[in-house]
Amino acid sequence: MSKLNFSGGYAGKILRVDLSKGEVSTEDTEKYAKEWIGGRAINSKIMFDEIEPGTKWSDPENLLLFGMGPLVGTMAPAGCRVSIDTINVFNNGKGSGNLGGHFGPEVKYAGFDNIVIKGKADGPVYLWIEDGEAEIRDAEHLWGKTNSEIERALRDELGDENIKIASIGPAGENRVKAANVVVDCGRSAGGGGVGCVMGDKKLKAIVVRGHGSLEAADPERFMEEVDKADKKIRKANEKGGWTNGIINAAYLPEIDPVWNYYTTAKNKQVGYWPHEKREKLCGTESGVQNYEERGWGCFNCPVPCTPFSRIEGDGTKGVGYWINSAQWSEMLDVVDPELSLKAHLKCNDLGLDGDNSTVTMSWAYEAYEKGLLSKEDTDGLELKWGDGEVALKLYDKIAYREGFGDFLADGVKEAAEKLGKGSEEFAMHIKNQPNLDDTRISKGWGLGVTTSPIGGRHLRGAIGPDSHTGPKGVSFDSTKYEKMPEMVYWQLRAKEVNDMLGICCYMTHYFGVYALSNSDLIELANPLLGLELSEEEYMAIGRRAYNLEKAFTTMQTDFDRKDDLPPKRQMEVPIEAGPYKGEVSSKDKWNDMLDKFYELQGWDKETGLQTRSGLKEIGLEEVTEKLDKVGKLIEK
Amino acid sequence: MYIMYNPSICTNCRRCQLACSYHHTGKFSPSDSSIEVVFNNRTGLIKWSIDTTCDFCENEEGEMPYCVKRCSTGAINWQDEGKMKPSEQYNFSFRSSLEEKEVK
Repeated sequence: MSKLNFSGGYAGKILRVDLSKGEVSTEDTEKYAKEWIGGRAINSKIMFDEIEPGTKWSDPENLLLFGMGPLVGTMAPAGCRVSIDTINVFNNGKGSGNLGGHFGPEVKYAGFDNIVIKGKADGPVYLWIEDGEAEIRDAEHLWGKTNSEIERALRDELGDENIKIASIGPAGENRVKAANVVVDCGRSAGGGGVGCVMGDKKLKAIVVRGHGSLEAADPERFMEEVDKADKKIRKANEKGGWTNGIINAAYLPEIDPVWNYYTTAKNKQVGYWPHEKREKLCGTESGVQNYEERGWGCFNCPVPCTPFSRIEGDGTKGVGYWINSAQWSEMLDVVDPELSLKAHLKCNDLGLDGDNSTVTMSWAYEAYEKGLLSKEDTDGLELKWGDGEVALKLYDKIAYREGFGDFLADGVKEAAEKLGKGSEEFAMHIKNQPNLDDTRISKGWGLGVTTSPIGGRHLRGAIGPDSHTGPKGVSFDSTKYEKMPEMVYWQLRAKEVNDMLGICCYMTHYFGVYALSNSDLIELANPLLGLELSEEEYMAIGRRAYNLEKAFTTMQTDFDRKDDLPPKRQMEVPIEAGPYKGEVSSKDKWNDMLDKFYELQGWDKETGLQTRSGLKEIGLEEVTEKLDKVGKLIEK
Repeated sequence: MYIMYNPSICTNCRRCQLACSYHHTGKFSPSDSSIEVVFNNRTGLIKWSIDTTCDFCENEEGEMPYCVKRCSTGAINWQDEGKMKPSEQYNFSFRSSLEEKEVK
């Protein structure tokens, strides 16, 4: 494809860090941005080009990349997202996580669009970045600190209250696979075990301060588009939006299709969590929102979805409560909102990913229920459904790899393989990564999750059950299979555009307030970058970027078509009760969806892998060469 | 004119800083803003202040200063001097003392 001649939006440089050699260097962002725009797409390109096939997540040659797209740090609402990419610790394919907060914009003000970290340090270090310069510093004194402790320590040490930090907690230090990266003490990215890789590299934190500025190619037109976007977001917020109400929106009204979005009660055995329990956890009277002290926004976000929470009297306080902690409650059948909030804050403080750790924990609860684990195995802990206090203790054990926690620390698949006794049957994972998403009600959500090249997770082509944007002419009912491949194929490209630009997907077509359409994003991006690309052209870059992730995972793993199916339980055990009683992920119909999905992608239907002709069509010849070398290119 | 700030509904999103820097420089940079926002993620406290480089966006089109316009929660507001009424909700922040909470 022709190269893009942009003239605004970027900080301008990519920071390269080699922890083994103790060296830092820079290169121009332009080299990659001309073809891949920014954010995750640039990360994916560098990973595919520079990582040799067969490299393991724990090899020093593995890269850890942070990508801030061109909208990050500009006036574009919620332009704050960071894509963190590396080799997936659960399967050695592509691993990817995404977070917001104030870290990404600060990196751009410090002069960098992406950070690429290679090698391993001999001992604990942190990376200090300030205004175009970077330095690897000793972090022996920070090792062992939790994510909230480290902010205070570093602000004091550096004498600056405005530094921004991305750090790992004890879980990352101990190479727990479910470890995440946390910014602002409470916004996290955990997909792929990105925090585990950071810990493996002995990198405790990236600390940044930037005084630079970002400029739009056409400032006036850009600000006009920001005005339009602001108006749409205000309107969406007035309709209810998500501000201060995410939990209510997702969990309370039974008639709402979003209501039973997640049907994960008791490790997805039941598929239904009674209304009374939801009411207790999330209702206006006793629910978790009563602990919200104030809204706590990410950088430049008009839809702050996360609160600063406090439990009066016992000292519990911190950034966040989030929907996956409501799922933690549902998974483990814990109705007490205070415990749910404590679990959330503990997770972030220890540096554990909510999804990945919850799934592993609920597998242990089920194994205990079935008598496959006893008190002797669990260091005396009684893993009974509904006992949240025990789960909080288990979090500590996992993060510090103590006793039974160490048994769980490598993920649900590994734990089930160690235990055996048929416990593999209820280890919920997709492509070896623990998976919290259910697929039985919303088939579009499910298809996006099961086909995602990053080992499950929903932040690719998943279609929200209440989504109302997509390709022209497609209207849909999310509980049906029909048209879902088309929807997912549209969504995954649009989501790539979203993430290469760096705007939060709760603002856009993906989920949340659905305020901005894909074309609205293009209207914001063009005057910023000084480009006049059409929506189709952006979507084409999105398709290429998604194919890069797919190719990386194919090159590194043995996954194929069979691994794009949901976990067995979701195909065999229907939802037990409630308005969606009887819904299940039918294997036959899933296979029909996969046929159509692969056809749209230009992939091989038999194997679910990429073909020479399909990749050539989208101009990814360099990808065919590397896939061919490892015998994974389908000659069609 | 007074710029007023209500700490209880501010979410520390810092849109005000960006809008302000755009007014001053035509670029986006919190460091070039008349506004400083310091927040503590452990205590939930925000220190918001505005310095004397603020010119109320005098030369800009539109009926209100940029920081007020871009504030999505109404935490920042403005009043003409003559019409100003003391309010419990807002701290008058410009050229008067802002309630500065300890951020540590």
